[in-house]
Amino acid sequence: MQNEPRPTVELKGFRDGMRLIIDPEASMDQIESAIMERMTNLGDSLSGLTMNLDLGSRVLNDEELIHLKNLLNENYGLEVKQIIGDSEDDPGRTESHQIAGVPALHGNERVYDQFVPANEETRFIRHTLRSGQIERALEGNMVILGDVNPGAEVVAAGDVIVLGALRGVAHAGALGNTSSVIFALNLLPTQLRIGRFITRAPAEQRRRQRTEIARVLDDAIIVEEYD
Amino acid sequence: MGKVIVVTSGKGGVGKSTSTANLGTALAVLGKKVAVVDADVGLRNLDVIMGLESRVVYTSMDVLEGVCELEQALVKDRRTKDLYLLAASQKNNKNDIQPEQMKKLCLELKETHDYVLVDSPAGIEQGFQNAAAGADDALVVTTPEVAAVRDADRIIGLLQNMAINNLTLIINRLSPEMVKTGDMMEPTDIIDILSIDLIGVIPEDKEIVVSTNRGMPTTYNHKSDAGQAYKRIAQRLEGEDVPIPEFKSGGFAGWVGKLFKG
Repeated sequence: MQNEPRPTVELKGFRDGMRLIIDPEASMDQIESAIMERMTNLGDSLSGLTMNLDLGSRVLNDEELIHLKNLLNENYGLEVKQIIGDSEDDPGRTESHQIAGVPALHGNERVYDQFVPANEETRFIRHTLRSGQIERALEGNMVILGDVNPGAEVVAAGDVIVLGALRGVAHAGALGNTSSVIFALNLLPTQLRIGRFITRAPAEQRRRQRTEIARVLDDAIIVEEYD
Repeated sequence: MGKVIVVTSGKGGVGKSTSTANLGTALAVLGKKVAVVDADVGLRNLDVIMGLESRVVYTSMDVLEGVCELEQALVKDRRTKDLYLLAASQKNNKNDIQPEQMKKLCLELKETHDYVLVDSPAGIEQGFQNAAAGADDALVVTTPEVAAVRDADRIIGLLQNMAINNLTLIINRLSPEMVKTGDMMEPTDIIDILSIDLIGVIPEDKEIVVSTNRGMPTTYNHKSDAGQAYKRIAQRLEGEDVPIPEFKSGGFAGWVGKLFKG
């Protein structure tokens, strides 16, 4: 991972919530298209959530900031809660960012290695998720006491545990944690996602119920019988 | 006070209107006072299926606009006593009626009828919202196809959000032969996903096409398998314990005999 070029935008879970981290070197156009690319895999998984915008040493003017804020809000339903940055060229920009209606923080407390695997809280859903329903746990894990039907989606920053049949889409480690797992008493998913990895169900249909667990191994999602 | 039941499916073409017409007829034949309501504003066809098209003078829209009284808009069935149709306006569209108005109509109808069956349009938009607005219970119609079951699942979620919790399932157009050879979903597969109670299985029956075109519900045809299956659903709605035959892949030779000869 260390040798990979730094992505233009990164989505990560921190103790104070989700952060969109922007490469300070990138142009506005690059940032914009990188956001769109990053969000494609998520669908509307994040709609209705708040996040912090981490600009690093980048300085954005009000217009650019408002533009980014609106882009995130209108296209993905994300609300920018805070701006984080550590630019030294522009000590006055903390005030300037307030114009966009968003409080700004100086980034001394921005520590990348404080990245949280996001498995601290666990959310329980005590019913079956039907087609068109989506449930998220971006602070941690998700446990479903019921089925996840085809067309339904469950998204968690940590693990996804389905105590029933998983027939729809599950996304574990949705903010990038590839050590998350997906477990179901009967694993028959349309699609599984862990972190940035995606796999789909094999074409043949299986009838027998099988308790399985999916995890990432060597940059691919593998599914193993659980016993 | 009667009961308002919305007949709905999500997907189009699975047999909502056919089921409404047949169940309405079967319930009236059992001696109940029934009103069937076409909620498919702009694309009405329940009147055609029931053979009452030429008798429609007023529609639900006329009642809501105060053009006529509710009793005047109810079309009396020509064959069965105590069966009435409230037609949908063909000139308007689904957004011209509000859920609150439908609710009021349904409330008024159930005061004077044992059953009010509301035929919902396909989709999950306002037409469906209107149809379900005044419902106490729902009959969810699906066919043994993945797409239809998916849409039924979506509709069940929406109905539950509307606090309509007494939901039962009709599986329509099941081909016993195809189930036997494993080429069609079995009822148990469908119930497994939808997890609501099954109230009846309607076998695929060519008679439906004939009867729909003639405007004569198959319930009247004693030789029609589908018509008889609808009659049994009506009995189950009335609380009678009529067993539902099992349709399974392989080794089902017995069920045809049990179901249709017995």
